Amino acid sequence: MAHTEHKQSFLSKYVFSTDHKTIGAQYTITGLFMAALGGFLAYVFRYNLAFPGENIPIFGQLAANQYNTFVTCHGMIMVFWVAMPILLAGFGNFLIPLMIGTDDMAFPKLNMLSYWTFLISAIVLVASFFVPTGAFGGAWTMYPPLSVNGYVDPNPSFFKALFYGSSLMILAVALEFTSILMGGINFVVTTINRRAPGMTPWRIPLAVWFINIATVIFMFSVGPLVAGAFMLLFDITLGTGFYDPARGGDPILFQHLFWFFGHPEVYVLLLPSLGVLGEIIPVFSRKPLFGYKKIIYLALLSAVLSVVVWAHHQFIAGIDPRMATFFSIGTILISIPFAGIFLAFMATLWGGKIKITLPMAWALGFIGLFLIGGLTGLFLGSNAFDIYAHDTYFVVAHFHYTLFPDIFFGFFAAFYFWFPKFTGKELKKGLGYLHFWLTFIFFNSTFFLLFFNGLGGQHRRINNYDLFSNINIEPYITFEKIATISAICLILSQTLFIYNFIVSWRAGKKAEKNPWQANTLEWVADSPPPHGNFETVPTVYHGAYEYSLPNMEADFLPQNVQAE
Amino acid sequence: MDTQHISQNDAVHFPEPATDYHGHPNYLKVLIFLFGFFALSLVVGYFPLSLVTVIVIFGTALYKATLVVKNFMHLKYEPVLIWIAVIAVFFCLIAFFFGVYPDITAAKLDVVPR
Amino acid sequence: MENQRSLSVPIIRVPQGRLAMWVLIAGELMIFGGLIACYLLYRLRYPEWADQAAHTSTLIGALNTIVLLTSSFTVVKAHEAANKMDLKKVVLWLSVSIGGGLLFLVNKGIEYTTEISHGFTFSSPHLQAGGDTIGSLFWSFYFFMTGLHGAHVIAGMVVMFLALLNARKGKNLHRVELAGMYWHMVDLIWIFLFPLLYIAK
Repeated sequence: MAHTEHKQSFLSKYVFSTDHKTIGAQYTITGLFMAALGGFLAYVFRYNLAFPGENIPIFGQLAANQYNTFVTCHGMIMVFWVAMPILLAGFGNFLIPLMIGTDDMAFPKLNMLSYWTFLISAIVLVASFFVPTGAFGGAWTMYPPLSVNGYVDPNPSFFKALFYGSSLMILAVALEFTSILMGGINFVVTTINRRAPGMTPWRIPLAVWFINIATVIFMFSVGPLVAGAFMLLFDITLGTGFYDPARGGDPILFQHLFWFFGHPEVYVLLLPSLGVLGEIIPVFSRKPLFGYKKIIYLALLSAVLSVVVWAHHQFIAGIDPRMATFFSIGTILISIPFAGIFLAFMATLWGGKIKITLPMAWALGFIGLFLIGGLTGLFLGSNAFDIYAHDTYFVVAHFHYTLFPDIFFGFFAAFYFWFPKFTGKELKKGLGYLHFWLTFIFFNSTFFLLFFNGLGGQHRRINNYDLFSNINIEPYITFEKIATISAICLILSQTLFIYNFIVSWRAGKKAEKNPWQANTLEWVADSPPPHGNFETVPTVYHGAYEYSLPNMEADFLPQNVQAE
Repeated sequence: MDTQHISQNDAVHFPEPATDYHGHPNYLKVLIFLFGFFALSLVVGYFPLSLVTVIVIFGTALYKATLVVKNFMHLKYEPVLIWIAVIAVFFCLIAFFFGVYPDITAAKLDVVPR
Repeated sequence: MENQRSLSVPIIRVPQGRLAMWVLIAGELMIFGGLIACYLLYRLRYPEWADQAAHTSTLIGALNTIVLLTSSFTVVKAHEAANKMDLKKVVLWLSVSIGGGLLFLVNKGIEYTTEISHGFTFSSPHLQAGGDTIGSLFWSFYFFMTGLHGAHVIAGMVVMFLALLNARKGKNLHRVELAGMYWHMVDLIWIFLFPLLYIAK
């Protein structure tokens, strides 16, 4: 266990590494690059929405089918190539071994394979922009029959069909699933089998619990879609009729297969971020986490419920109305565990010695913004309202209010919290706050107005209202313009983060070992943790949230220190 | 308590024949049972399909599956957590089947096949 | 005593390889389970699929079931031998199991050849031209399900072969059990595919 300083070449240390921290960094950085691509796509189509038909700076004219492609790929990239690698794979790889006090993952080579599979999947997706048909443009949900019959080829062949944008997107997603499954096996096995002595289940930090619950949800929901995606691929390439109603298939089946995975996926993305919140909030409230066990029970309850709510995405697809009622009730029920978790976080804040620091600012921002997203989700969860709002910008605003705080506020909270640990350097605080406030303000001014546009009835799938004589953009265009300008500012303000990241990493002040005075095991290791993480195996004596205990001088008690 | 204490090195280099079962089922007996139920379902398959035959065919399939999982895969000797994982698979699949059933199977076809 | 208890790890007593195998198997079962659920949903919707299922060869299917059940038994015998460190028997039983996999694939090949020569292919253009488009969907499912299962048979054989190479040198004997678990999963899936595709007509 004592870490051996053996010589590693640059390649084996940073590229073909089996070290969990390097792999976590690889995942995160790949995810950030994909986020830049997704952001660029968003910039192009947002510009087109506010100023239809005009030349877009840096890009030029945007054709209608390109608009579809860009929206589709924006959604695909942000969910599968940004959120998944950063929140699940990135956090999981960084945090699990350090927080449970072990030297590496259970299967380091599998971990490396997982990352390289993921990288190939990203390359396949980006490559799909350059095939003759262009990238897929039939919405990120890939519903047939559009995804099957999207391209009309006068003389189709198997190999041609394999290089359609749609086929490549399915392949990329399949590779991505494989990668996350391999990573997920690692997370679960590592957490169960490789904990430090004394790390009983009820002493595991919340972040590790939540990443594992998210992984399990992912593994139990993705299977049917894997089969379903292959059926879709065969429909495209081999001319089968799995989803072709003219041949006895049913396109609704694909919607079910997709959302049976797609909805639990929302919780797969949400839980790691909530886990990070569960680490940050007690540290900066200097109080034990309120209801630690209950929070975990609530998360497990939400995991069970998450597989019986999926059809609320299909209320306007013509599903059985009795089932729609059932799924409405399920959807509203699942808000109970999450409301419970958020209330527990607020109860942790209550009466604490709250220190507003950068990570805390992001965490509080997360709670505030996610509340708006979650509450509008309740409206959309009931089918009576959803049928009217489904095709409007209300839905767009709703899921950006859930996913943007979840992905970016969650990531930035974690980033600002653990940056001193993983680089050994301090971040520039002023820049960090500027980044926070700009992101917070511009995010709200981008998406809040879209709620009103949506309630006003603006369709969400139309690239240019001028092309349709019977609908009028006039009532919505002002808000659209404000939203677009804010979105551009939102994207630009992320350069502050990149600048801060690079400058602090290369020339930041040296950080202390435990700058936030936190309890969990990763703060016991050196900053940055060496290969092998800990000098000696830490022994755990108590839970992760022993802050401000009575009869103690220090207001925190690291997990590896025995109480007097 | 000493068996509970596992240092990390033990977890890395697990001792070679890596089992800790307390017993082994009689594999041959299980195999004979499997063949027996297989023959039963095969015979029943030659009768015209009715509710009874379907129940027999898939009941035996399910029973054969539990025999394989419990004895050959040694689920019998595994801790509760693994049982939960296996049962969760069934829970998810049943949830999926019955969630989709009204839309695919019970739905009235309004598309005329080509 | 209390202190000692807090020092110990309440690990569930599963070696990490086997634990990972269970997780993998759960994931695989979800893939096949989803596929089987889709098939069942359509099968219950189209009673006329029984006419198509009548064209599958119950004989070869039954033969394959016997082969897979037996090879599942032999692989568990290999695991038993591995526990007793009886290397020769491990190699013997593993070879028999791989042979079972080969026999399965040969049978499958004969079956596929017959069916394809009768015009039943993945998209069955001959059925579609004859107006029986719903029947062609049965064959899409048939070939996808058995094909995916066949791919797993091949994967299981490769895994068993690697375990055999290791076992010959007395290395990594725990791999015999892990390869065996994968093979049992392949058997398990076939236990459900057989009545679905061959018996329930």
